[in-house]
This record gives sequence, structure tokens and C-alpha cells, in this order.
Amino acid sequence: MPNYQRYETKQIECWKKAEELRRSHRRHIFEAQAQGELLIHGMCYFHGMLNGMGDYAITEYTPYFRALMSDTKEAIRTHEIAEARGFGQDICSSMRCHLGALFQGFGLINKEGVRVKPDFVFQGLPCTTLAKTSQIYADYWGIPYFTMDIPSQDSPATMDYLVAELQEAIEWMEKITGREFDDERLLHGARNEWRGLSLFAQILDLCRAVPSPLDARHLFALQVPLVLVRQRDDVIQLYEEMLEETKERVRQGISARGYETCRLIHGGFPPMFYMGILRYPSQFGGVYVGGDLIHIYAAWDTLDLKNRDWVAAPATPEEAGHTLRTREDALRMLADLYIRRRPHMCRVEAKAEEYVKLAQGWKADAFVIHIDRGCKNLQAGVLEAKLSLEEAGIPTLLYEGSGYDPRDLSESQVLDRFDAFMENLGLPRIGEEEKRSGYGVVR
Amino acid sequence: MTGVDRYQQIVDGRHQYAQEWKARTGGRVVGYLCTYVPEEVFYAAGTLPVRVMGSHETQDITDRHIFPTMWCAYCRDCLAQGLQGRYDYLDGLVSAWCCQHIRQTYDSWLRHAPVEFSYQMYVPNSLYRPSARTCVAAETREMARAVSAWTGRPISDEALEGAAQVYNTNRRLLRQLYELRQADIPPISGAEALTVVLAGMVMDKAEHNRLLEETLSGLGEVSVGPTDDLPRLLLLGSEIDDREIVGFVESLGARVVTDEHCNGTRYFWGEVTLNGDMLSAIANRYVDRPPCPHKDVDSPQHRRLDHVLDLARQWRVQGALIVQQKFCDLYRYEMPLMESILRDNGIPSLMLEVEFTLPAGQWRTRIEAFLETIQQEVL
Ligand code: SF4
Ligand code: SF4
Repeated sequence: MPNYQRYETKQIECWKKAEELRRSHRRHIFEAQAQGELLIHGMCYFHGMLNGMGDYAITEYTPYFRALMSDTKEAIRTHEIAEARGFGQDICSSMRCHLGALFQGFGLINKEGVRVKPDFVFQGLPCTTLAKTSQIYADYWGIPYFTMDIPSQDSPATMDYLVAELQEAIEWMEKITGREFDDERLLHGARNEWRGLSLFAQILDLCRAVPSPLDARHLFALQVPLVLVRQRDDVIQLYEEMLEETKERVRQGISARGYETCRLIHGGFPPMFYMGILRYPSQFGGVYVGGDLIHIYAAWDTLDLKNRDWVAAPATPEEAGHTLRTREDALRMLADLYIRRRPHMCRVEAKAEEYVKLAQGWKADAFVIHIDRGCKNLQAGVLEAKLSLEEAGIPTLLYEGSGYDPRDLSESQVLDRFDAFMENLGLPRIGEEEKRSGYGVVR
Repeated sequence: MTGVDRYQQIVDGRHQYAQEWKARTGGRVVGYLCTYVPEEVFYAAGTLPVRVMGSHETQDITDRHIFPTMWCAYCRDCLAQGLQGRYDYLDGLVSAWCCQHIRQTYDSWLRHAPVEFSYQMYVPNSLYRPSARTCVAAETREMARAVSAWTGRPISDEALEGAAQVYNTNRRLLRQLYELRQADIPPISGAEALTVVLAGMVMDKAEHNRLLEETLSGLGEVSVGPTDDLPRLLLLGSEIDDREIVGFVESLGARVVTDEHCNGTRYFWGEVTLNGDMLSAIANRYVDRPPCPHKDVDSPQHRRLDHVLDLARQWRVQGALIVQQKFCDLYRYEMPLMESILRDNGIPSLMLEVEFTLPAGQWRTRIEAFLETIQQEVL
């Protein structure tokens, strides 16, 4: 019998602050160079290390990505532009969309018509697709390019390699910008980077509670400043406040959506042009209490999830045994963070065990996995994970779609499948009456 | 060509060959899934490294493990061989840090058809900075340690040097064979050359060397006939282990005179420089070999494209066929640039997509039209 208990809900107080940080980051992209700061192109990794170059803004590919994703026509047009240049549908839809934006020239132009060009490309490489895309960006703009492997295998050689790469990156940035690298800023930024990811893991830990204080839709939105600018003090402060607020929500039994008939985990990126799909289970009283793509933006005590559970990393690097005095100390700490604490995007080999531990640890009744045909990295190992989930008695639904290409998702088919899945779990839709009584009124 | 049948027999009977080798020597056989695995280490340890290959038959046994509609047929075909038990004589399965497709093959294989020894060696993508060279050497050393712990025998420097010599000889002989194809009328066809390389991937390299020496001395006596006007083609791709593909192209009136893919030149290009620490020397050869797109992530330099142009010049090609495994995203990424660079250098290209089997019907007209265009341009 499903749990039809009605829980209290409440607005998330730090939501506004998170949104403001996201907006100010976007503005900063167009202001940084005028203020004498660097503008770097790439998906964000190693914020703490980049911080050693002074204040900077990072473009994260297309700043207007969100706007693009909410305009289906424009999104499709952008894909078509990339396809016309030979970047066919086999390749990642996210990168195809960014390439389309690049070729249209609206990637780095704001509403006032201010156009910027990054000083260089710095791309952490968890997935080769990102590196290949950045290569095209660098070629297209004719700007210097540094791509940095983030090994997903943990060995003394890979740890040394990442530290050596970081050293090389610093020398390279000094050379191409003529600026001096500041070790104090590195130590500060790197400490913040650890701290921010650990704080987010502690927040996710709290979502094991019944009812869960936050759901996947909240978490995807709340993690944005962490993804973009986790070297900054104001961002760390946001997550400190968020942690306290989440603790309070748990203490008061405040739930994410009001009902919790069924706890779900979401695998893979949700379709970015249809984020509302994350709220769809609430029609049945279901709620997503986590997702692998949420959990990768956090630092864990271990990634050996074959043998151990998800446990948040110690709150500070010092608590994890790091001494932070020199550049080498900071870089080694970052290598530890990225190889041993932060789940790697391309982890094929442990995915099955990771998914099972995620479902069990967050008391999930079922797992829902989005299959994005273009993204070879997050989807690798998914079918093995499904087999393992089912072996562990966790019902699993796969839905085919796309993270970024609206043409690849048939909304009606996906929702039909979802309805049938919920029916199989024995969950009818929550009645209209209950909906009117205030169910699901929070963001 | 002299004795090509022998190579063909070995490729067709590769499972039997490995099993007989095992029975004869009492050694262990190790399958590998990526050509970045430093095979010399396994050879020096007295094992027989063999490249895992598909059988080019449609199948659905892998559908529960790897999505058929998004992953390349090559990785699924290899896994199918493992799940069907065709490689049940393998004592080990190894891979190098490769694309996500093949990493799934490795993972699913080990989950459902476990072997005694398995190892996945990390090989950086940004392969051309000093840090990467050090990393590959350290990873090779780590792998050698694991192999010797498994076999219970240390791998001596002499054994490593001996293995490197055998492999270097093999690479040199294959290159000689390929260089013969620079002639106006090459003494061997593209399909034959591919067969020779494939045989080397699944047999004892010392034996392959002996065969190659015989073959090369036989070819030395071949008298080269008058020039004809068959277009000279370069074959580009990721994994082309299907002789039928090359044979089919040639049957339409072309010469495949050289190639750039994992079962062709990219496999045997570049030798181990025999000095200093042997494991580092072996590792260096893998850093310096022509890269696949997975390892070619720099800008503005694109090493693979430069290498392709070199091959095109030396083998005087008039056109390029790009055989694209469906769903292979990394090669797809390079396609627009590859096509435009070839075009800028006066080399027209044609992209052909392939899955498990040769789509002869679909390809025929396109290839014929392409060959006609080349011939018109030549005239
Ligand atoms: S992880 Fe997936 S979606 Fe992201 S860049 Fe890589 S392939 Fe694209
Ligand atoms: S064909 Fe492409 S996708 Fe398939 S294994 Fe080779 S590189 Fe990977």
C-alpha cells in the first residue's frame, strides 16, 4: 500500500540567492575582460587552480543555453546548423547544440550586442566529446587550447599524472597570458572547491530522509553556482546556508513535493528542454530523491562503490588528511578530489554497483534512466546497471530521448511509458481533490 | 600474391590457431581490445597476445548489455564473440583507455564471461605533453608488474628487449610490404595487405615474421606490368577488420594502396627505440605512433590529419574512402575537418557507413560514381 501521507512543503529560502549567483555569473562573462580579468572558454573543472590566475569568468560554452533550451524551434535550428556542417546525429546532442550556436555566432554575444572572445580554451577532459568540441572551438576562434585529462582510473601513476598536468597548465597559462600565477589564490580557490563539493554531498546525504527535503528538480537548479563558480567565497557561503536550511527542513519533516508515495532516482541528464519531466512523478505522489548526474557534482569519501556506500567527503581537505601550504599540496589535493572523490562522468566499470548503492542508500522504490543516444559517456554501462538494479529487486524504467535535441524525444510516448510503469508499481494518479488541497505547490 | 592463402587460413582459423599454440607451448593467451595495449609486455611474459575481432554476423545476444541503436557494431560484435564462447580459451582480457564503446565491451565481457586475468591500462588522451609520456611509462610498468604477478614469473629486461625486437621486425616487414604498394601497379591488393596485417594480430609475431620474409622475397621477383588507370585510394576508418569491404571496393575497379585505421598502418607504424629502460622505451612507441581521434585532441595541431596527408602523398592517392562505423562518434567528429583538408589537398573523399555486414547494394552505386569522378579528374 503506497504511503499517502501528506507532508508539509515550504519555499526554499536560498533559491533566490542561487538564482542571483547564476545571473551574476552570466553578466560577468561580458564584463570580465573589460575589468582586466581573463575570460576562459570551457566546461568547468579545477576552478581552484584557475583562481590562481586572478579573477576570471568562464563561458561554459553557450551562455544562453538555458534560453535556447526553452525555445524548441531555435534549439532545433541550432542543431540543424551543426548538422549542415557535418556534425551528424551520432554525436552528443549537447555539443552539437553548442557547435550550432558557435557557427551561428550567437554563442558569446549578449542582449546588448556585446560580443566577447575568450582568451583561451581550458577544457577538463572527463569525456572525449568535450575535448573534441573544444578543439573545434579553439580552431574556429584561433585561440590557445589546453585540454586536461581527468583519469577515471585510480593509480599512483594517474595521481602523479594529474598533478603534473596541473603544473603544466599553470606554466602554459602564465606563458600565453603573460600573467603571474598566485599560489595563495590557488590554495584559497582549491580549498573552496573541495568545500563546496563536500557541502553539496552533505546536502544530498540529507535527502535520504523520508520525506526527502528536496527533489531532483530542486537539486539540478541549486547546483548551478557550484558547477560554475565554486572557487568563490560567496558561493561557498550559499552552500553553507543551504546545508543549514536543508537540515532544518529535515528536522521539521518538510518535504520536496508534499507526497512521497514512491521514491525514485533519475539516471542520466534529464532532457534539458523539458525539465518539467522531473516533476511528472508528482502526479502519482512520486518524487525523485537523487540522480547520478546530481551526485557527480559532489565529493564523496570514496568512489569504491563496489565495496562501500556513498558517504560525503570530509568537510575540509585538512580533515581528509591534506596539508595545504604549497602549490604542490594544492594540486595533489585537487588530484585526490577529482580522481578519488568526485564521480567521473565516464565511469563505465562501476556504474552498475553505483546505481544499486544509490537506489538502496536513498531508499528508492524504483530507478528511471534517460537514454540520450548522443551522449556516449553517461549512457555507457547503463544496460548492465539496469540488469544489476533488477537483480537487486529495484524496478527500472528506461526512456529514450535526448538531453538537448527536442526532435529525439516523443513526449507522449515517454509519458505513456511512465504511466504504465507507475501503474505496475501499483501507484494510481493522485486525485484532483488532493491536488487542489495544495499538493505540489513549491518550486 | 605469394602465399596469401596461408594468412587467410590463419585469420579464418584464428581460434584454432590460438588453441593449438596453447597446446603446443603450454602458454597463456591474452585477448586485447585496443591497439594502445603495449603487446610487447605480454609477448615478453611468454603469453600470446591476440586482437579480439568480430565475426561480421548480425546478432542480438549483446542487446541486453549494450544498446544496439547507439553503439558501434564493432564493439558489439567483439562482445558477441565473448558471450558466445568463441574466445573461451582466453586466459586474459586486456584493454587500454579507449572509447566508451569498447570499454563497455570490456566491462560486459568480464561480468558475463570472466577470465583469469584482466587489466585495463590507462592511456591519456592528451598524449603529447611530457606528463603523458611519464604516465604511459608508469602505467606500462604497473601493467608489467600485474602480468608477472599473474604468471608468477618476472619479466626480464632481456625478454622485453627480445619482444621489442620481434615486434620491430614485424613492423618493419609490414611497412616494406606496404611500400611495395607505392608502385604504379602494386604487387598486392588492398584486401591482401589487410589479410596479412590481420593475421599478424592473431598469431605469434615471430612466426608472422618468417611468413612475411618469405612473402617479401617472393614479391621481389614479381615483374611489374604496365601502368593502368585504376584510381589509387586511401582507406580511412576506425576498425576495418573485414576483408570483404576492401575486396568489394577493389572489385569495382580501384586500388586500395594504403590505409589509416586500427587494423592497418596505425597498428604497425613506428618502432620501439631500443635504448635505456625497456619498459619506457616500449611505452614511448605507443605515445609516438600515429594517434586515433581519441588521442588527437590538441589544437591547432591535428596529428592524425597531418599523418593522413603524408600517407596520401607518399602513396600518391587520388581519392579517399572513409569507412565510418555507424554510431562511432569520435571519428564522426573528425569527419568535417578530414573531408575539408583532403579536399584542400586535391583528394576527393567519400564517406561510407557500415554496421555488421557489408552493405554492398547501398555502396555499389556510390562507389562507382565516386570512382568515375576521380577518373574524370585524372583525365
Ligand atoms: S558527457 Fe555526454 S552530454 Fe556531456 S559532453 Fe560528454 S557526451 Fe556530451
Ligand atoms: S569504431 Fe569507433 S566507437 Fe567503435 S570501438 Fe572503434 S573507435 Fe570506438
